Amino acid sequence: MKYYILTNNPLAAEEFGKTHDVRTVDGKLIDVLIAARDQISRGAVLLNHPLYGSVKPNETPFRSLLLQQGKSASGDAPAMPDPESVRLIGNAVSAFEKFTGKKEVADRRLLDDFMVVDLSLLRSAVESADR
Amino acid sequence: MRLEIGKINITDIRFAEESKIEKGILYVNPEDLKPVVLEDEKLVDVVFDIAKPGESVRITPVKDVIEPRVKVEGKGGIFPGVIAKVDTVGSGKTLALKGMAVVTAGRIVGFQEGIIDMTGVGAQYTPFSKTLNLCMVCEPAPDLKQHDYEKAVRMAGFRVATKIGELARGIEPDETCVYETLGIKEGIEKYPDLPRVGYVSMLQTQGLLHDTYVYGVDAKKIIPTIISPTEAMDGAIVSGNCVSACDKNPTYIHQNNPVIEDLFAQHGKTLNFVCQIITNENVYLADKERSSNMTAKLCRMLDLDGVIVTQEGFGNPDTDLIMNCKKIEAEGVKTVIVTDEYAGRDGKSQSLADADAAADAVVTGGNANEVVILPKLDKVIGMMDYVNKIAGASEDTLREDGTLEVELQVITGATNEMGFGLLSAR
Repeated sequence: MKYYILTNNPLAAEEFGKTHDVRTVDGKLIDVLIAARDQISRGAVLLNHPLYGSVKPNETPFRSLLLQQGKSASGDAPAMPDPESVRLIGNAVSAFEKFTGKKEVADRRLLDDFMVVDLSLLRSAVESADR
Repeated sequence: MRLEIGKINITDIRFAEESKIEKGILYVNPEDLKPVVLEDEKLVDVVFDIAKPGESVRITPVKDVIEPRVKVEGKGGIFPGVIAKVDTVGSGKTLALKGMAVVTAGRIVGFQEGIIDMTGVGAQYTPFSKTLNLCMVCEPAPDLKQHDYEKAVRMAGFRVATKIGELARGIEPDETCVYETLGIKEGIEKYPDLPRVGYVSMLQTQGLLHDTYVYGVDAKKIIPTIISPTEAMDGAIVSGNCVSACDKNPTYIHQNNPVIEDLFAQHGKTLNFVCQIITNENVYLADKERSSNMTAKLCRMLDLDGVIVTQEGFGNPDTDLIMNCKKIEAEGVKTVIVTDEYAGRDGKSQSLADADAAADAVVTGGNANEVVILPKLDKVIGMMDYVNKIAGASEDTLREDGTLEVELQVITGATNEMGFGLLSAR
Protein backbone atom coordinates (compact mmCIF):
# COMPACT_ATOMS: atom_id res chain seq x y z
CA MET A 1 0.00 0.00 0.00
CA LYS A 2 1.30 3.43 -0.86
CA TYR A 3 1.33 5.83 2.03
CA TYR A 4 3.53 8.49 3.55
CA ILE A 5 4.78 9.28 7.03
CA LEU A 6 4.16 12.76 8.40
CA THR A 7 6.43 13.39 11.38
CA ASN A 8 8.39 15.85 13.46
CA ASN A 9 10.48 13.08 15.03
CA PRO A 10 14.07 13.16 13.72
CA LEU A 11 14.51 9.46 14.57
CA ALA A 12 11.55 8.54 12.36
CA ALA A 13 13.05 10.37 9.40
CA GLU A 14 16.38 8.69 10.10
CA GLU A 15 14.94 5.19 10.26
CA PHE A 16 12.40 5.32 7.45
CA GLY A 17 13.80 8.07 5.21
CA LYS A 18 15.40 5.66 2.76
CA THR A 19 12.63 3.09 2.51
CA HIS A 20 9.48 5.17 2.89
CA ASP A 21 8.01 8.48 1.82
CA VAL A 22 8.75 10.60 4.88
CA ARG A 23 7.47 14.18 4.98
CA THR A 24 8.88 16.08 7.90
CA VAL A 25 7.11 18.85 9.74
CA ASP A 26 9.39 21.44 11.24
CA GLY A 27 7.40 22.18 14.35
CA LYS A 28 5.65 20.89 17.43
CA LEU A 29 3.21 18.04 17.93
CA ILE A 30 0.25 20.32 17.28
CA ASP A 31 1.83 21.38 13.98
CA VAL A 32 1.89 17.75 12.85
CA LEU A 33 -1.77 17.34 13.80
CA ILE A 34 -2.75 20.53 11.99
CA ALA A 35 -0.73 19.63 8.89
CA ALA A 36 -2.45 16.23 8.89
CA ARG A 37 -5.84 17.88 9.33
CA ASP A 38 -5.17 20.11 6.30
CA GLN A 39 -4.13 17.13 4.21
CA ILE A 40 -7.14 15.11 5.38
CA SER A 41 -9.41 17.98 4.34
CA ARG A 42 -7.90 17.59 0.87
CA GLY A 43 -8.60 13.85 0.76
CA ALA A 44 -5.74 12.16 2.61
CA VAL A 45 -6.77 9.16 4.72
CA LEU A 46 -5.37 8.55 8.20
CA LEU A 47 -3.97 5.04 8.76
CA ASN A 48 -2.88 5.15 12.42
CA HIS A 49 -4.50 6.65 15.48
CA PRO A 50 -3.36 10.23 16.15
CA LEU A 51 -3.51 9.76 19.94
CA TYR A 52 -1.37 6.64 20.05
CA GLY A 53 0.91 5.92 22.94
CA SER A 54 -1.48 6.94 25.69
CA VAL A 55 0.93 9.83 25.96
CA LYS A 56 -1.23 12.86 26.43
CA PRO A 57 -0.85 15.65 23.94
CA ASN A 58 1.23 18.40 25.53
CA GLU A 59 3.38 15.77 27.20
CA THR A 60 5.30 14.37 24.26
CA PRO A 61 6.66 16.81 21.68
CA PHE A 62 6.66 14.17 18.89
CA ARG A 63 4.07 12.65 16.60
CA SER A 64 4.32 10.46 13.51
CA LEU A 65 1.27 9.81 11.37
CA LEU A 66 0.68 7.45 8.47
CA LEU A 67 -1.44 8.92 5.69
CA GLN A 68 -2.62 7.67 2.36
CA GLN A 69 -3.15 10.14 -0.45
CA GLY A 70 -6.85 10.08 -1.34
CA LYS A 71 -8.10 10.06 -4.90
CA SER A 72 -11.49 11.04 -6.27
CA ALA A 73 -13.43 8.50 -8.29
CA SER A 74 -12.60 10.22 -11.58
CA GLY A 75 -9.04 10.99 -10.54
CA ASP A 76 -9.14 14.58 -11.74
CA ALA A 77 -11.13 16.33 -9.01
CA PRO A 78 -9.93 16.77 -5.40
CA ALA A 79 -10.89 13.77 -3.25
CA MET A 80 -13.69 14.07 -0.71
CA PRO A 81 -12.48 14.08 2.90
CA ASP A 82 -12.70 10.70 4.62
CA PRO A 83 -15.25 11.15 7.45
CA GLU A 84 -13.52 8.79 9.89
CA SER A 85 -10.17 10.53 9.40
CA VAL A 86 -11.83 13.93 9.84
CA ARG A 87 -13.42 12.75 13.08
CA LEU A 88 -10.25 11.24 14.52
CA ILE A 89 -7.98 14.16 13.70
CA GLY A 90 -10.63 16.59 15.00
CA ASN A 91 -10.83 14.70 18.29
CA ALA A 92 -7.03 14.66 18.53
CA VAL A 93 -6.77 18.43 18.03
CA SER A 94 -9.52 18.98 20.64
CA ALA A 95 -7.75 16.65 23.07
CA PHE A 96 -4.56 18.62 22.57
CA GLU A 97 -6.30 21.90 23.28
CA LYS A 98 -8.03 20.52 26.37
CA PHE A 99 -4.89 19.75 28.32
CA THR A 100 -3.31 22.61 30.13
CA GLY A 101 -0.05 23.83 28.69
CA LYS A 102 3.18 22.45 30.04
CA LYS A 103 6.60 23.89 29.63
CA GLU A 104 8.52 22.54 26.71
CA VAL A 105 10.65 19.52 27.46
CA ALA A 106 14.27 20.58 27.73
CA ASP A 107 15.81 17.54 29.38
CA ARG A 108 17.89 15.82 26.69
CA ARG A 109 17.43 12.32 28.12
CA LEU A 110 13.68 12.78 28.38
CA LEU A 111 13.51 14.09 24.80
CA ASP A 112 15.39 10.98 23.75
CA ASP A 113 12.82 8.79 25.58
CA PHE A 114 9.98 10.57 23.81
CA MET A 115 11.65 10.12 20.43
CA VAL A 116 12.31 6.44 21.05
CA VAL A 117 8.76 5.74 22.19
CA ASP A 118 7.33 7.66 19.24
CA LEU A 119 9.56 5.68 16.90
CA SER A 120 8.62 2.34 18.45
CA LEU A 121 4.91 3.11 18.07
CA LEU A 122 5.48 4.27 14.49
CA ARG A 123 7.27 0.98 13.78
CA SER A 124 4.23 -0.86 15.11
CA ALA A 125 1.99 1.01 12.62
CA VAL A 126 4.42 0.59 9.70
CA GLU A 127 4.64 -3.13 10.41
CA SER A 128 0.86 -3.40 10.05
CA ALA A 129 0.77 -1.19 6.96
CA ASP A 130 3.53 -3.09 5.15
CA ARG A 131 2.28 -6.60 5.71
CA MET B 1 -12.68 -25.15 34.07
CA ARG B 2 -12.40 -25.26 37.83
CA LEU B 3 -9.70 -23.44 39.77
CA GLU B 4 -9.20 -23.30 43.51
CA ILE B 5 -7.32 -20.31 44.82
CA GLY B 6 -5.86 -20.99 48.25
CA LYS B 7 -5.20 -17.67 49.95
CA ILE B 8 -2.30 -17.39 52.36
CA ASN B 9 -2.54 -14.15 54.27
CA ILE B 10 0.84 -12.47 54.65
CA THR B 11 0.91 -10.21 57.69
CA ASP B 12 4.53 -9.05 57.55
CA ILE B 13 7.66 -9.20 55.39
CA ARG B 14 11.07 -9.30 57.08
CA PHE B 15 14.61 -9.66 55.81
CA ALA B 16 16.21 -12.77 57.35
CA GLU B 17 18.89 -15.40 56.87
CA GLU B 18 16.46 -18.00 55.60
CA SER B 19 13.76 -17.31 53.03
CA LYS B 20 10.53 -18.93 54.19
CA ILE B 21 6.91 -18.34 55.13
CA GLU B 22 6.02 -19.03 58.75
CA LYS B 23 2.84 -18.13 60.58
CA GLY B 24 1.86 -15.66 57.88
CA ILE B 25 5.22 -13.89 57.91
CA LEU B 26 7.33 -13.84 54.76
CA TYR B 27 11.04 -13.98 55.59
CA VAL B 28 13.29 -13.04 52.70
CA ASN B 29 17.02 -13.19 52.28
CA PRO B 30 17.82 -10.70 49.51
CA GLU B 31 20.95 -12.71 48.74
CA ASP B 32 18.68 -15.57 47.63
CA LEU B 33 16.87 -13.25 45.24
CA LYS B 34 19.78 -11.28 43.83
CA PRO B 35 21.05 -14.10 41.58
CA VAL B 36 17.50 -14.58 40.30
CA VAL B 37 17.54 -10.99 39.08
CA LEU B 38 21.15 -10.82 37.94
CA GLU B 39 21.02 -14.00 35.86
CA ASP B 40 20.08 -11.53 33.14
CA GLU B 41 23.29 -9.75 32.20
CA LYS B 42 21.29 -6.70 31.14
CA LEU B 43 20.83 -5.92 34.83
CA VAL B 44 23.97 -5.13 36.83
CA ASP B 45 22.52 -4.53 40.27
CA VAL B 46 19.34 -4.75 42.27
CA VAL B 47 18.39 -3.35 45.66
CA PHE B 48 15.57 -4.93 47.63
CA ASP B 49 13.54 -2.97 50.14
CA ILE B 50 10.28 -3.38 52.04
CA ALA B 51 7.46 -0.84 52.17
CA LYS B 52 4.62 -1.35 54.63
CA PRO B 53 1.19 0.27 54.80
CA GLY B 54 1.25 3.45 56.86
CA GLU B 55 5.01 4.01 56.59
CA SER B 56 6.31 7.36 55.38
CA VAL B 57 7.62 5.81 52.18
CA ARG B 58 7.27 6.70 48.52
CA ILE B 59 8.07 4.13 45.82
CA THR B 60 8.93 5.65 42.43
CA PRO B 61 9.33 5.18 39.47
CA VAL B 62 7.09 2.09 39.71
CA LYS B 63 6.93 -0.23 36.73
CA ASP B 64 4.93 -3.35 37.60
CA VAL B 65 3.20 -4.89 40.62
CA ILE B 66 2.97 -8.67 40.87
CA GLU B 67 1.31 -11.08 43.30
CA PRO B 68 3.42 -14.17 44.10
CA ARG B 69 1.55 -17.40 43.35
CA VAL B 70 2.39 -21.05 42.95
CA LYS B 71 0.53 -23.81 41.17
CA VAL B 72 0.22 -26.89 43.36
CA GLU B 73 -2.31 -29.00 41.42
CA GLY B 74 -3.38 -29.13 37.81
CA LYS B 75 -1.68 -28.42 34.53
CA GLY B 76 1.07 -25.88 34.03
CA GLY B 77 2.72 -23.29 36.20
CA ILE B 78 2.39 -19.59 36.97
CA PHE B 79 3.15 -17.20 34.08
CA PRO B 80 2.81 -19.85 31.37
CA GLY B 81 4.84 -19.16 28.24
CA VAL B 82 6.85 -16.60 30.17
CA ILE B 83 8.28 -18.42 33.21
CA ALA B 84 6.52 -21.81 33.16
CA LYS B 85 5.98 -23.97 30.06
CA VAL B 86 3.05 -23.05 27.85
CA ASP B 87 0.60 -25.60 29.28
CA THR B 88 -2.96 -24.32 29.52
CA VAL B 89 -3.50 -23.04 33.06
CA GLY B 90 -6.66 -22.10 34.92
CA SER B 91 -7.62 -25.42 36.49
CA GLY B 92 -6.50 -27.32 39.57
CA LYS B 93 -5.20 -25.48 42.60
CA THR B 94 -3.11 -22.35 42.99
CA LEU B 95 -1.80 -20.76 46.17
CA ALA B 96 -1.65 -16.96 46.34
CA LEU B 97 0.20 -14.77 48.82
CA LYS B 98 -2.44 -12.22 49.78
CA GLY B 99 -1.72 -8.85 51.33
CA MET B 100 1.65 -8.49 49.64
CA ALA B 101 3.15 -7.67 46.27
CA VAL B 102 6.43 -7.58 44.42
CA VAL B 103 6.96 -4.06 43.07
CA THR B 104 9.51 -3.46 40.31
CA ALA B 105 11.01 0.01 40.10
CA GLY B 106 13.69 1.80 38.13
CA ARG B 107 13.97 4.39 35.43
CA ILE B 108 12.83 2.97 32.11
CA VAL B 109 11.18 5.74 30.20
CA GLY B 110 11.25 8.91 32.21
CA PHE B 111 7.68 9.97 31.70
CA GLN B 112 5.54 6.88 32.05
CA GLU B 113 6.20 5.43 35.47
CA GLY B 114 4.23 5.70 38.66
CA ILE B 115 4.24 6.64 42.32
CA ILE B 116 3.06 4.51 45.24
CA ASP B 117 2.80 6.39 48.55
CA MET B 118 2.38 4.21 51.62
CA THR B 119 0.84 7.03 53.68
CA GLY B 120 -0.88 10.39 53.24
CA VAL B 121 -3.15 11.58 50.46
CA GLY B 122 -1.45 9.47 47.78
CA ALA B 123 -2.04 6.29 49.79
CA GLN B 124 -5.77 6.96 49.64
CA TYR B 125 -5.62 6.71 45.86
CA THR B 126 -3.33 3.77 45.18
CA PRO B 127 -4.57 0.28 46.03
CA PHE B 128 -0.95 -0.74 46.52
CA SER B 129 -0.61 1.33 49.70
CA LYS B 130 -2.60 -1.47 51.34
CA THR B 131 -0.16 -4.24 50.43
CA LEU B 132 3.16 -5.11 52.02
CA ASN B 133 5.49 -4.37 49.14
CA LEU B 134 8.73 -6.15 48.44
CA CYS B 135 10.37 -3.61 46.16
CA MET B 136 13.18 -4.27 43.72
CA VAL B 137 15.03 -1.37 42.15
CA CYS B 138 16.95 -2.66 39.16
CA GLU B 139 20.06 -1.04 37.71
CA PRO B 140 20.57 -1.54 33.96
CA ALA B 141 23.85 -2.29 32.21
CA PRO B 142 25.38 0.84 30.69
CA ASP B 143 23.84 2.01 27.41
CA LEU B 144 21.00 -0.49 27.58
CA LYS B 145 18.16 0.54 25.27
CA GLN B 146 14.84 1.40 26.91
CA HIS B 147 12.91 -1.56 25.50
CA ASP B 148 15.65 -4.03 26.53
CA TYR B 149 15.60 -2.55 30.02
CA GLU B 150 11.80 -2.82 30.18
CA LYS B 151 11.95 -6.47 29.20
CA ALA B 152 14.76 -7.22 31.65
CA VAL B 153 12.90 -5.61 34.57
CA ARG B 154 9.61 -7.20 33.54
CA MET B 155 11.13 -10.69 33.43
CA ALA B 156 13.13 -10.17 36.64
CA GLY B 157 9.91 -9.25 38.44
CA PHE B 158 8.22 -12.45 37.29
CA ARG B 159 11.22 -14.57 38.27
CA VAL B 160 11.33 -13.05 41.76
CA ALA B 161 7.56 -13.38 42.22
CA THR B 162 7.77 -17.01 41.13
CA LYS B 163 10.64 -17.72 43.53
CA ILE B 164 8.67 -16.19 46.41
CA GLY B 165 5.51 -17.99 45.34
CA GLU B 166 7.40 -21.28 45.60
CA LEU B 167 7.89 -20.62 49.32
CA ALA B 168 4.14 -21.14 49.71
CA ARG B 169 4.22 -24.71 48.38
CA GLY B 170 3.03 -27.06 51.11
CA ILE B 171 1.51 -24.33 53.26
CA GLU B 172 -2.12 -24.68 54.30
CA PRO B 173 -4.12 -21.71 52.96
CA ASP B 174 -6.14 -19.49 55.31
CA GLU B 175 -9.06 -19.49 52.90
CA THR B 176 -9.95 -21.22 49.64
CA CYS B 177 -12.12 -19.80 46.86
CA VAL B 178 -13.43 -21.90 43.98
CA TYR B 179 -13.99 -20.48 40.50
CA GLU B 180 -15.66 -22.56 37.83
CA THR B 181 -16.86 -21.87 34.32
CA LEU B 182 -18.83 -24.40 32.31
CA GLY B 183 -18.76 -25.48 28.69
CA ILE B 184 -21.23 -23.68 26.41
CA LYS B 185 -23.81 -26.50 26.36
CA GLU B 186 -23.38 -27.34 30.05
CA GLY B 187 -23.90 -23.70 31.00
CA ILE B 188 -27.09 -23.35 28.98
CA GLU B 189 -28.47 -26.56 30.49
CA LYS B 190 -27.52 -25.69 34.04
CA TYR B 191 -28.63 -22.06 33.97
CA PRO B 192 -31.36 -21.93 31.32
CA ASP B 193 -32.97 -18.81 32.77
CA LEU B 194 -29.89 -16.75 33.55
CA PRO B 195 -28.51 -14.12 31.17
CA ARG B 196 -25.30 -15.18 29.46
CA VAL B 197 -22.60 -12.64 30.26
CA GLY B 198 -19.08 -12.31 28.92
CA TYR B 199 -16.13 -10.09 29.76
CA VAL B 200 -14.29 -8.30 26.96
CA SER B 201 -10.86 -7.43 28.19
CA MET B 202 -8.93 -4.98 26.02
CA LEU B 203 -5.19 -5.36 26.36
CA GLN B 204 -2.70 -2.53 25.86
CA THR B 205 -0.81 -3.40 22.65
CA GLN B 206 0.36 -0.27 20.89
CA GLY B 207 3.98 -1.20 20.35
CA LEU B 208 7.23 -1.59 22.21
CA LEU B 209 6.92 -0.44 25.82
CA HIS B 210 3.14 -0.55 25.37
CA ASP B 211 2.55 -4.27 25.17
CA THR B 212 0.76 -7.06 27.01
CA TYR B 213 1.61 -10.73 26.71
CA VAL B 214 -0.76 -13.72 26.68
CA TYR B 215 0.95 -17.07 27.25
CA GLY B 216 4.12 -15.25 26.21
CA VAL B 217 2.65 -14.00 22.93
CA ASP B 218 2.65 -10.31 22.15
CA ALA B 219 -1.12 -9.60 22.17
CA LYS B 220 -0.67 -7.03 19.39
CA LYS B 221 -0.44 -9.96 17.02
CA ILE B 222 -3.44 -11.97 18.18
CA ILE B 223 -6.89 -12.11 16.70
CA PRO B 224 -9.41 -11.73 19.55
CA THR B 225 -10.02 -15.04 21.24
CA ILE B 226 -11.76 -16.54 24.24
CA ILE B 227 -10.11 -17.78 27.40
CA SER B 228 -11.38 -19.08 30.70
CA PRO B 229 -11.28 -16.25 33.25
CA THR B 230 -9.38 -18.60 35.57
CA GLU B 231 -6.43 -18.60 33.16
CA ALA B 232 -5.73 -14.96 33.98
CA MET B 233 -5.62 -15.89 37.68
CA ASP B 234 -2.68 -18.19 36.91
CA GLY B 235 -0.74 -15.43 35.19
CA ALA B 236 -1.67 -16.15 31.55
CA ILE B 237 -1.84 -12.38 30.97
CA VAL B 238 1.12 -10.22 32.01
CA SER B 239 1.81 -6.53 31.72
CA GLY B 240 4.77 -5.24 29.71
CA ASN B 241 3.95 -1.62 29.36
CA CYS B 242 4.89 1.86 30.41
CA VAL B 243 1.67 3.83 30.02
CA SER B 244 0.32 6.37 32.50
CA ALA B 245 0.46 4.90 35.99
CA CYS B 246 -3.10 5.66 37.02
CA ASP B 247 -4.75 3.56 34.35
CA LYS B 248 -2.29 0.89 33.47
CA ASN B 249 -3.14 -2.65 34.41
CA PRO B 250 -0.17 -4.07 36.30
CA THR B 251 0.18 -7.86 36.29
CA TYR B 252 -1.26 -7.92 39.84
CA ILE B 253 -4.58 -6.57 38.53
CA HIS B 254 -4.71 -9.13 35.72
CA GLN B 255 -4.21 -11.81 38.41
CA ASN B 256 -6.86 -10.21 40.66
CA ASN B 257 -9.16 -8.77 38.02
CA PRO B 258 -12.13 -7.26 39.90
CA VAL B 259 -14.49 -7.63 36.92
CA ILE B 260 -13.78 -11.36 36.88
CA GLU B 261 -14.13 -11.58 40.67
CA ASP B 262 -17.48 -9.78 40.62
CA LEU B 263 -18.83 -11.78 37.69
CA PHE B 264 -17.88 -15.01 39.46
CA ALA B 265 -19.62 -13.74 42.60
CA GLN B 266 -22.85 -13.51 40.58
CA HIS B 267 -22.21 -16.65 38.50
CA GLY B 268 -25.13 -19.09 38.84
CA LYS B 269 -27.12 -16.56 40.87
CA THR B 270 -28.05 -13.62 38.66
CA LEU B 271 -26.03 -14.46 35.55
CA ASN B 272 -24.10 -17.16 33.74
CA PHE B 273 -20.48 -16.00 33.36
CA VAL B 274 -19.56 -17.60 30.05
CA CYS B 275 -15.99 -16.53 29.27
CA GLN B 276 -13.39 -13.82 28.92
CA ILE B 277 -12.76 -12.45 25.44
CA ILE B 278 -9.35 -10.87 24.99
CA THR B 279 -8.71 -8.28 22.33
CA ASN B 280 -6.07 -5.64 21.62
CA GLU B 281 -5.55 -1.89 21.17
CA ASN B 282 -3.26 -1.50 18.17
CA VAL B 283 -2.29 1.88 16.72
CA TYR B 284 -3.11 0.93 13.12
CA LEU B 285 -6.70 1.76 12.29
CA ALA B 286 -7.31 -1.30 10.10
CA ASP B 287 -6.14 -3.50 13.01
CA LYS B 288 -8.73 -1.81 15.22
CA GLU B 289 -11.47 -2.53 12.69
CA ARG B 290 -10.45 -6.18 12.40
CA SER B 291 -10.22 -6.77 16.14
CA SER B 292 -13.50 -5.04 16.99
CA ASN B 293 -15.27 -6.93 14.17
CA MET B 294 -13.96 -10.21 15.54
CA THR B 295 -14.85 -9.33 19.13
CA ALA B 296 -18.42 -8.44 18.18
CA LYS B 297 -18.70 -11.63 16.13
CA LEU B 298 -17.49 -13.76 19.06
CA CYS B 299 -20.08 -12.16 21.35
CA ARG B 300 -22.79 -13.06 18.84
CA MET B 301 -21.53 -16.60 18.19
CA LEU B 302 -21.45 -17.26 21.93
CA ASP B 303 -25.06 -16.04 22.15
CA LEU B 304 -24.15 -13.61 24.90
CA ASP B 305 -26.85 -11.37 26.33
CA GLY B 306 -24.43 -8.85 27.73
CA VAL B 307 -20.76 -8.03 28.15
CA ILE B 308 -18.61 -5.84 30.32
CA VAL B 309 -15.80 -4.15 28.36
CA THR B 310 -12.67 -2.77 30.03
CA GLN B 311 -9.82 -0.85 28.41
CA GLU B 312 -6.27 0.16 29.28
CA GLY B 313 -4.91 3.62 28.56
CA PHE B 314 -6.19 6.86 27.06
CA GLY B 315 -6.68 8.26 23.56
CA ASN B 316 -5.90 5.54 21.07
CA PRO B 317 -7.63 2.84 23.19
CA ASP B 318 -10.75 5.03 23.51
CA THR B 319 -11.35 4.42 19.81
CA ASP B 320 -11.11 0.64 20.29
CA LEU B 321 -13.42 0.89 23.29
CA ILE B 322 -16.08 2.73 21.33
CA MET B 323 -15.68 0.51 18.25
CA ASN B 324 -16.14 -2.57 20.45
CA CYS B 325 -19.13 -1.09 22.23
CA LYS B 326 -20.83 0.04 19.02
CA LYS B 327 -20.31 -3.20 17.13
CA ILE B 328 -21.22 -5.48 20.03
CA GLU B 329 -24.42 -3.49 20.65
CA ALA B 330 -25.20 -3.73 16.92
CA GLU B 331 -25.14 -7.52 17.36
CA GLY B 332 -27.91 -7.18 19.92
CA VAL B 333 -25.61 -7.73 22.92
CA LYS B 334 -25.85 -5.20 25.74
CA THR B 335 -22.61 -3.57 26.88
CA VAL B 336 -21.32 -1.81 29.95
CA ILE B 337 -17.96 -0.11 29.44
CA VAL B 338 -15.45 0.58 32.19
CA THR B 339 -12.96 3.40 31.67
CA ASP B 340 -11.48 6.42 33.40
CA GLU B 341 -11.61 10.05 32.37
CA TYR B 342 -9.26 12.77 31.21
CA ALA B 343 -11.73 15.55 31.74
CA GLY B 344 -9.23 18.34 32.40
CA ARG B 345 -8.19 19.72 35.79
CA ASP B 346 -11.64 21.26 36.31
CA GLY B 347 -13.40 18.06 35.17
CA LYS B 348 -15.43 19.96 32.59
CA SER B 349 -13.94 18.69 29.33
CA GLN B 350 -15.04 15.68 27.34
CA SER B 351 -13.78 12.62 29.22
CA LEU B 352 -12.86 10.30 26.39
CA ALA B 353 -11.24 10.95 23.03
CA ASP B 354 -14.10 9.12 21.33
CA ALA B 355 -17.83 8.63 21.92
CA ASP B 356 -20.98 7.05 20.56
CA ALA B 357 -24.66 6.95 21.51
CA ALA B 358 -24.38 3.15 21.96
CA ALA B 359 -22.09 3.76 24.95
CA ASP B 360 -24.99 4.49 27.26
CA ALA B 361 -23.81 2.46 30.25
CA VAL B 362 -20.42 3.62 31.49
CA VAL B 363 -18.58 3.02 34.74
CA THR B 364 -15.76 5.47 35.47
CA GLY B 365 -12.63 4.97 37.51
CA GLY B 366 -12.32 8.74 38.07
CA ASN B 367 -10.77 11.83 36.49
CA ALA B 368 -7.03 11.29 35.97
CA ASN B 369 -6.47 15.05 35.59
CA GLU B 370 -7.66 15.82 39.12
CA VAL B 371 -4.92 17.63 41.05
CA VAL B 372 -3.72 16.43 44.43
CA ILE B 373 -0.93 17.57 46.74
CA LEU B 374 1.24 14.74 47.99
CA PRO B 375 3.12 15.30 51.25
CA LYS B 376 6.87 15.11 51.61
CA LEU B 377 7.68 11.61 52.84
CA ASP B 378 10.67 10.46 54.87
CA LYS B 379 11.97 7.74 52.60
CA VAL B 380 12.09 7.12 48.87
CA ILE B 381 12.50 3.66 47.40
CA GLY B 382 13.81 4.22 43.89
CA MET B 383 14.61 7.79 42.92
CA MET B 384 12.95 11.19 42.81
CA ASP B 385 14.75 12.21 39.60
CA TYR B 386 11.62 11.76 37.53
CA VAL B 387 8.81 13.17 39.65
CA ASN B 388 8.79 16.37 37.62
CA LYS B 389 8.71 14.44 34.39
CA ILE B 390 6.21 11.65 34.61
CA ALA B 391 2.83 11.98 32.94
CA GLY B 392 0.63 14.07 35.21
CA ALA B 393 3.51 16.04 36.69
CA SER B 394 5.16 19.25 35.51
CA GLU B 395 8.23 21.42 36.05
CA ASP B 396 6.44 22.90 39.05
CA THR B 397 5.52 19.59 40.66
CA LEU B 398 8.23 19.50 43.32
CA ARG B 399 7.43 22.47 45.54
CA GLU B 400 9.80 24.33 47.87
CA ASP B 401 8.43 22.63 50.97
CA GLY B 402 9.02 19.20 49.43
CA THR B 403 5.37 18.50 48.68
CA LEU B 404 4.31 17.42 45.20
CA GLU B 405 1.55 18.96 43.13
CA VAL B 406 0.44 16.29 40.67
CA GLU B 407 -2.47 14.98 38.70
CA LEU B 408 -3.87 11.58 39.72
CA GLN B 409 -2.22 10.23 36.56
CA VAL B 410 1.06 9.77 38.43
CA ILE B 411 -0.37 7.45 41.08
CA THR B 412 -0.22 3.76 40.28
CA GLY B 413 -3.72 2.30 40.00
CA ALA B 414 -5.52 5.53 41.02
CA THR B 415 -8.12 5.46 38.23
CA ASN B 416 -7.74 1.86 37.15
CA GLU B 417 -9.98 0.95 34.23
CA MET B 418 -10.83 -2.50 35.52
CA GLY B 419 -12.26 -0.85 38.62
CA PHE B 420 -9.43 -1.93 40.89
CA GLY B 421 -8.96 1.60 42.24
CA LEU B 422 -10.22 3.04 45.50
CA LEU B 423 -12.20 5.97 44.10
CA SER B 424 -15.95 5.86 44.56
CA ALA B 425 -18.90 8.21 44.29
CA ARG B 426 -20.37 6.62 47.39
